[in-house]
Amino acid sequence: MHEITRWSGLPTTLLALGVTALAGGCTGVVDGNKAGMQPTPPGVSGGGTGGSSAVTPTVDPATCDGTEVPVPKRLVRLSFNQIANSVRALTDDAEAAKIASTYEIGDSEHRTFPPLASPREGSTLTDKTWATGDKIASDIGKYAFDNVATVSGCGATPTEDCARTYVAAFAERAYRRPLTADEKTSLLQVVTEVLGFGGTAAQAIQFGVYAALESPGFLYRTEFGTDAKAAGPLTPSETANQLSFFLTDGPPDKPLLDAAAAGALASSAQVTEQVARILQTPAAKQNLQDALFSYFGLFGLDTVVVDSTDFNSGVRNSMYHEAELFLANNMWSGPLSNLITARKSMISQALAPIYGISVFPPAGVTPDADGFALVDLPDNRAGILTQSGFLTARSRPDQPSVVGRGLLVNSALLCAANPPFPANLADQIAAVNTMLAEETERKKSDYRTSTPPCNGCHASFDPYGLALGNFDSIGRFTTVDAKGRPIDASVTLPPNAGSAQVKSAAELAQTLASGEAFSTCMAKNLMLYALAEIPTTDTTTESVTVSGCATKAIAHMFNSTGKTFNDLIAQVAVSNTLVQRSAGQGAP
Amino acid sequence: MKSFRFARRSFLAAVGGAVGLRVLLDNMVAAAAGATSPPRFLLTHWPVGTVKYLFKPTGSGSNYTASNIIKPFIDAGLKDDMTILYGLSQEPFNSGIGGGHESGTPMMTTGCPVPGTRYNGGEGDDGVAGGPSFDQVFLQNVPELKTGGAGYVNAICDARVDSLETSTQCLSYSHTMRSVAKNGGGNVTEATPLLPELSPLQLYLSLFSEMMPGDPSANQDELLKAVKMRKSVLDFSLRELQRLATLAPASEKSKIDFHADAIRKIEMQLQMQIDSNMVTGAGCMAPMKPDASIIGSKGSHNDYQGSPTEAPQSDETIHEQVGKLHMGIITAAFQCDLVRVATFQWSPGTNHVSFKGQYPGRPDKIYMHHPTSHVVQDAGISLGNSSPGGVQGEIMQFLANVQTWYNTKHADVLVALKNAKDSFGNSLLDHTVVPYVTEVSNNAHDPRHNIPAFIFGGKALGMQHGTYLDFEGNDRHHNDLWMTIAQAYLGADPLSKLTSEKFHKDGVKPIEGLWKAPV
Repeated sequence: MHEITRWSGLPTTLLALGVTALAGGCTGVVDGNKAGMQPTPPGVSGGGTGGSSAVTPTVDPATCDGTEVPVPKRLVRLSFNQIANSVRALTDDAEAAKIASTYEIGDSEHRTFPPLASPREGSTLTDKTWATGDKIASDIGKYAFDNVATVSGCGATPTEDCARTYVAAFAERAYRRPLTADEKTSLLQVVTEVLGFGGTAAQAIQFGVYAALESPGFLYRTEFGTDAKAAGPLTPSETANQLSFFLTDGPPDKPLLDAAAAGALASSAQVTEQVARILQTPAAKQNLQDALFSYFGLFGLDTVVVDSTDFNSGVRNSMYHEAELFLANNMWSGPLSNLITARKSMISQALAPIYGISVFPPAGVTPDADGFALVDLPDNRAGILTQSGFLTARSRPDQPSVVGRGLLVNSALLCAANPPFPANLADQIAAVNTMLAEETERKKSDYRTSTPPCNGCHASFDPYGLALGNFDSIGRFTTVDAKGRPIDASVTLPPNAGSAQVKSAAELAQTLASGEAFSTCMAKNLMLYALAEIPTTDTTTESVTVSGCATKAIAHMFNSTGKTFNDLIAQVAVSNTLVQRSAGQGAP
Repeated sequence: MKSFRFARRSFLAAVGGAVGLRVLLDNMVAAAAGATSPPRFLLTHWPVGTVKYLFKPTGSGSNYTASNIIKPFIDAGLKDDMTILYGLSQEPFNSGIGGGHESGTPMMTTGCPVPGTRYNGGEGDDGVAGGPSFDQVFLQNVPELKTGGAGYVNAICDARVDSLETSTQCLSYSHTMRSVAKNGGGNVTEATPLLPELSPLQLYLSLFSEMMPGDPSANQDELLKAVKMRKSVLDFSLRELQRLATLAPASEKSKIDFHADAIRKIEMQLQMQIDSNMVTGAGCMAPMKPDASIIGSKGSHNDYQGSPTEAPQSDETIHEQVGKLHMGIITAAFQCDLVRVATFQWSPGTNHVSFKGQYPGRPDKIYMHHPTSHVVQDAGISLGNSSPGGVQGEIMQFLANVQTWYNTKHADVLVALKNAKDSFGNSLLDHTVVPYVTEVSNNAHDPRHNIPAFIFGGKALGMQHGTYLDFEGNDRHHNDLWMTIAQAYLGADPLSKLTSEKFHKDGVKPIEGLWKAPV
């Protein structure tokens, strides 16, 4: 039995993040009945076997000593958001905003988790992505021409020498490192040629700036180290770049560049110090909040359709903002597990009925300028899992989805593999859909989790969805379903969540928080984010897996810290996965 | 508070018809005495197939009477520029993998079996392309279709999909094969999708920002100087990529190659301008820059509830605006000879565009296109010979009405193409073959047989029009359509010139009588 789920609420790559291996026997998908539940009739055989992979880090950490180097030497292109942030650093906020607006960089398609995972980004610059980068570079060149006096410091009619000096200095900022002599000569050849074509010095600046931003030195981060032919650490400059784009999605600031230049990024302690400093900056906070916003699929609120008169634009907006505030309030203080256990949240009047809060704002609390005030949510709530926005973002129009919610918890919180839709069972699924149409969600799930071949997959994720069963399409707590039948949210969790018995969503969250599966999954995904690696389903090509040594090493180290989000970021930042590179395939 | 996002759709709906595209160009000066108009190719698509009993004309050959669905083309005076086909089949190369629309779309334009589905975190039915699409096949094999630069452009008017699919929002696929994560584990090799522009502004920028600023009467020397300066930048970038290649591990070489290849296409275009002492854009004026707010919707949607599926607001106005802006820009690009190959897609096959008043007897109701099609319960209904009556019959009529809407708008843009003259004073449509295809036969089930299609234009290239050909019961291979068109570019035996291409060739041949070598 299989429920077709409209996964509109899922983030662009969130489910992919959890994949380490896919269940066998589930292949292909057909465009079947899109309208609803599709269980499989009794006696159907074939397909649907397998399930999600275990993720609990049970392997002895001693076998993973932290010296593993899973990532080869690489060339990493900047995402368009990173380019826009670089433009901001090189020009000003207004120009960066203009670029982001003109080239539609700011929307959710360009804020995927990890960066570059969107089909409109990709790890390679091809015709279309290159053309966009070229236009941005050209636009900034024109900006430099139009503002030559203020930008260059060379006055309104620059001398040729001043033009050369400025272009070389601009390129050093654009490349985020000193230029080699050959690079400088090559760049200044553009200046010479422009002047040779009869151009003015101002035009030489225009096309010199254009060239600097057209250069691979700007468009990529290298991870080659000092000796491109051998394994080894990144150079200080490469470390600074990786760290900065990881934490801020933008280029390194001056203190970080200075640290790189002074050789002060060589030890874990030095990197940790920089991480702590950068994490205090608004840029880092905003970027990582946005990253987790994408990670938890909250951009799905933009487009989700819920057939409820109680779900209007005001409620939608409030859910969106509540989620932003929740992340901002829980990422930077307290343990990482607060993300899935915290019961305090900033809500608006529009959300109060959804959370069953009759008095808003609470006595003595003054809402902020947007009308949001901090409240204690009822004890049936726990963290992001029970946030109204999180639940709504993956609802179906007419009802919540046990399977959809289960798949999300399975992949995003546990990094387990979600199996594909079993195309070969589509007709049988449709038939059983009809057969069980009037049953409770519990009965439907019982069928899925007990009847071969459905149980091979559904037993591994349905329980999470059932545990969230007390929340309707927009996240209201309810004890009965739409037909007035009692909802039973008690389940035995799958093995990868410890096989514990829980009776509610709050207990599910507490169970996940008390083990290591959630933090290990977060560690793995933050590494992918830092690496800007596009997730795959192929464990032979994916650099970082949840069960791999690199992840286990971080999880092991994380346990000896205060277990905050910052601690996890720091452990990722100093890990061999980030600072060391193997020689890779085919040395130059 | 980031609630600004939610004002967007209502704003777009309110824009109305205020922004239009300025009608484009003066005739261009012929580039060389004795030269003729170049050939062009414009691949166009409508979503969700058709309803057989409401689509098929009566009669056959040139003696047919158009159905209401087809009538907009007749009313627009396009009968002699049009061939109607029914009964094409994808079954000979159907691997059975992927969704109906999701795999039907790449099969439709590539003629290749779908080798797997892309792992994208969504439903898992996102079929990947087994080879390049025919627009790219023609571009690669027909020298006369090449211009400087990338040589092609792709546009889409609405990009909402079910669940993160690429397949349904892309008609064009490159010869460059790449490995991507496969649904079910492992990797699958796909032809690289050449994703279309959703925003008319971005389409405009991709084509006309190559033109130098200033009006066409501007000093050619100054324009040429600017071209040389830009070429200096691109040459520099190529030098730096070459340097990078000496440092990067071999595993990263393909990234550098792709990057360099993208630059070289433009660099060659600039070199041609320098060599000819003529800057692109001389005698050719860019169309008006579209407003950034005129753009279709995108993202994943799960709007499949209701019977039929109701929507809060209709999309016709913005949908038509985006379509006409896109086609205006493509038409201008053809006139300016910036590209000779393009694709134009109204929407993904899983179309979430909503229409008001198209449902019989419900003039005020708004329903979404593809979701409503899934209310149909039986494959036989849409492939049957008569209306099933009741709600199912009403749904069929709704689908037919929507297709009629699309055909009305498509007729408008084809008429504009017909009336537009190139630099030789010839009709663009006469020198452009415009297939108008759909990814499935009907709306829900048995999607691979009895597929309809149209061929417009290309009369100066030998295309013969004015007929309706019905192959039902004796399906023609869908690739017969492409080989019929290929004759316009490659002559009477196109297959012999495309042997190295990947598309399925067994039993494939041009449809007889639709092409004659031009005199």
